[in-house]
Amino acid sequence: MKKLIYISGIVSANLMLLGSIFKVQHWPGANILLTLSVFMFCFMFLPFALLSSYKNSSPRKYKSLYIVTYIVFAVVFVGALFKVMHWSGSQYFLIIGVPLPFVLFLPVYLIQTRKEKNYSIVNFMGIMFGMAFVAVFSVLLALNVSWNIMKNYENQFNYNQNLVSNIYTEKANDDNNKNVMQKSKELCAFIESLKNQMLKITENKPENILNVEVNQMESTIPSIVLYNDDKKGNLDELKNKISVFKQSVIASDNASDELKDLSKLLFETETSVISERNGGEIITWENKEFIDFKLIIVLDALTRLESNVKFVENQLISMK
Amino acid sequence: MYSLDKEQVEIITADVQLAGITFSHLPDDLVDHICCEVEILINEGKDFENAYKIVRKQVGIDVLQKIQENTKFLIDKNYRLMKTTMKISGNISLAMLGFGTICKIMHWPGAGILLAFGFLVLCLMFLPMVLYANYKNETKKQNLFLHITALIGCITFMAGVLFKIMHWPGSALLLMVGYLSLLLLFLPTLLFVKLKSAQTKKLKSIYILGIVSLIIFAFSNMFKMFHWPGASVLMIVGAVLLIGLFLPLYTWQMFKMEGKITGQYIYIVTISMFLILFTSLLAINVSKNIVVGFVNQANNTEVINNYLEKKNVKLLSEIENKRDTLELKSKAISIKKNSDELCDYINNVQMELVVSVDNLDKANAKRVIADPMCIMAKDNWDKVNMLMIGLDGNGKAKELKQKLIQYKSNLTSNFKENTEFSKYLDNLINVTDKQNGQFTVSWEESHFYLCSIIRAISTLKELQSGVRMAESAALVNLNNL
Repeated sequence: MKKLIYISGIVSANLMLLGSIFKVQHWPGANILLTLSVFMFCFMFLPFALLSSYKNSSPRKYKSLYIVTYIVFAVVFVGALFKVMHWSGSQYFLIIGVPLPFVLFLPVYLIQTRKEKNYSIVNFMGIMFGMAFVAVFSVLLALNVSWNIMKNYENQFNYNQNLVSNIYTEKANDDNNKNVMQKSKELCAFIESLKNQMLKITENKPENILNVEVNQMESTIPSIVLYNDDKKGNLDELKNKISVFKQSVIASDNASDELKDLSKLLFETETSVISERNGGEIITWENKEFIDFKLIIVLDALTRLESNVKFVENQLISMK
Repeated sequence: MYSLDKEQVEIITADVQLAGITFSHLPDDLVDHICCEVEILINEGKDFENAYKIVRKQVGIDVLQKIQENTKFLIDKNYRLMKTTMKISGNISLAMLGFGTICKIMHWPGAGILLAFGFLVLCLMFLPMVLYANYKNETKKQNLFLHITALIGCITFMAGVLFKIMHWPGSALLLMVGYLSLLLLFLPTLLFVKLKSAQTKKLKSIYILGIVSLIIFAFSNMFKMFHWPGASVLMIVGAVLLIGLFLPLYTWQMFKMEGKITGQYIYIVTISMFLILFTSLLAINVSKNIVVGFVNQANNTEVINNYLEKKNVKLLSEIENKRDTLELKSKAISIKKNSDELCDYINNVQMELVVSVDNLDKANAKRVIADPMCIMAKDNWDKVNMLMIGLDGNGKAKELKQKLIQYKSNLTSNFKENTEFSKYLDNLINVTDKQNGQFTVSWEESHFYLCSIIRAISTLKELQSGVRMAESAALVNLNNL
């Protein structure tokens, strides 16, 4: 029986490890492993180990502590499982599960062991540091959102890419808009070259960018490409080309007032926004568009920019 | 200089014991003190008997007992007070962190204050006290370095986490210092101390394995946090060493030594489960900043939509003014009406989404849709699932798809010969299902399943944009007929 408890403890921890590795690497079968691990821990190892430990203690005391320990950690792990598996109801588990160790387990533990004369401070420190670790990492988790949100980028990326290529013009009026078209061509070619440079360094083909998860959050390569090692080379050139394009649209005789206003709104790269949320921090155009210089975000923002340029250009040449 | 012999010291010790002095090392101190007094008197020329009598007159039994009581009161009271404060502050700060986390996740107010106070109490009250108590308690007071590194490492790390949450500058530096001092100073020192106390060679190698794998594992965490390459490799290596190798070996050792299930074993298994769980959860999560990319897209699309709406109104009035064919006029008006209806419908879907996620009233919902940065729970996806897909797959998305198909067929019926226009339209409003290997993923699922609300809002705005662009192209076509 004791051997079985020892083994079940090791097995459930190892299943959890395998499940996590599978989950992080996006291999199939991760969910089965994680579910199995949590069920083994909550319904085999934890109850029997606590029972055995309780029965073995010579004067049988702290009965309520054992019961509370079981309830708290079973709820926490089942709740975490719900969260990882995206099962409905995970929110309620989360609301109960995150504070439960600190409002139920810890007070009961401290009150029960309060009168123990020979109680070693090492055990106390172990419990307290373990609980502090759990608390700090739960806080860190609150900073993040599920990786699933990256999948949402796929649609957005495709939409913008589609806008770049899906152009429809009835009776294009090319001759009068040569200047704007020239500027648009230059700008789009520059954006494409930036995108290609980033993808070349990450050794990815454009169509693969949404499948390779490791590189999506890469932030050094986009900043190298945009800043040329802190010299702001390409970023300045990009902003310069954008404003040249904007000016050419505004100066064009063919553009309607609405289109001029639109291009003013879409290609505003110089003014910075003052964020009220972060205590009046000034956010420049590049920091707003290329948040943290993450590869996926930079590529998406560049594609959106390209689609905007094409849209404005197309609006202009289809005007009479 | 005279010094007392063994028998004389024993007489004094016996007297002190007779007075009932037992507390800690107080009897030794008192004996030492009395001996000194006696020796001084003997040096002045008195013999032991007389000298001891004089001293006993000054320091009688009741005086000795009083000293003991005072000492006990002083030492014990401070010690117990500190221990109680330590326990209470530890528990309260952790509970604050727990509630703060929940408030942060659920976007309830007060998260910042709870977290800041929790971290402050933990770092400035609990941690120093617990480490001081542990240091005092240790018989050999030689592990000062261990305690100092633990204190500095923990405080800087936790301050880093707090700064990161509150978006204060300098969090990266604090986290880096905290991580490095914990991983490169504290843990190796701990290993050194443990190795000194280990009896067998086998135990020594288990300790080395445990701490080295813990360092590797924690480094993977750090790499992940700073988005450095190689985090996943480190995580796998560290975790396999820790859970696959160290834990079984340690268990085997425990089993041989104890033969019964101890609280320590339950604790170690539970904590390792937590360790893997948190690391993998952190690994499959991304920074919240990423949602701003969707906000940018939504704002950008909104600007284009406003432009198109104005442009289309202008186009319609142009057609109405110039052409006198009634048929053309009515066609243009019906196109405009259809697009307006569809855009209003999509607007309503956005309203419903925002209302269900953030619990807003209609007026606020309108404001939030115009400025999606104001949505509180930007990453909420389960309410989107419920509304758009529904439990039986008959959610709003299905209705929306039908309306889009209807709109498209209405539009193309006006321009039957123009294949280029219908091709453009098909590309613009594409509601076909996707083939993903053997599976077919429906348009509803690929756009709204596991979709955060912020992306759902920008998707809906994109659809409005598509409708307006199609309307615009159709009106331009009519105008050129």
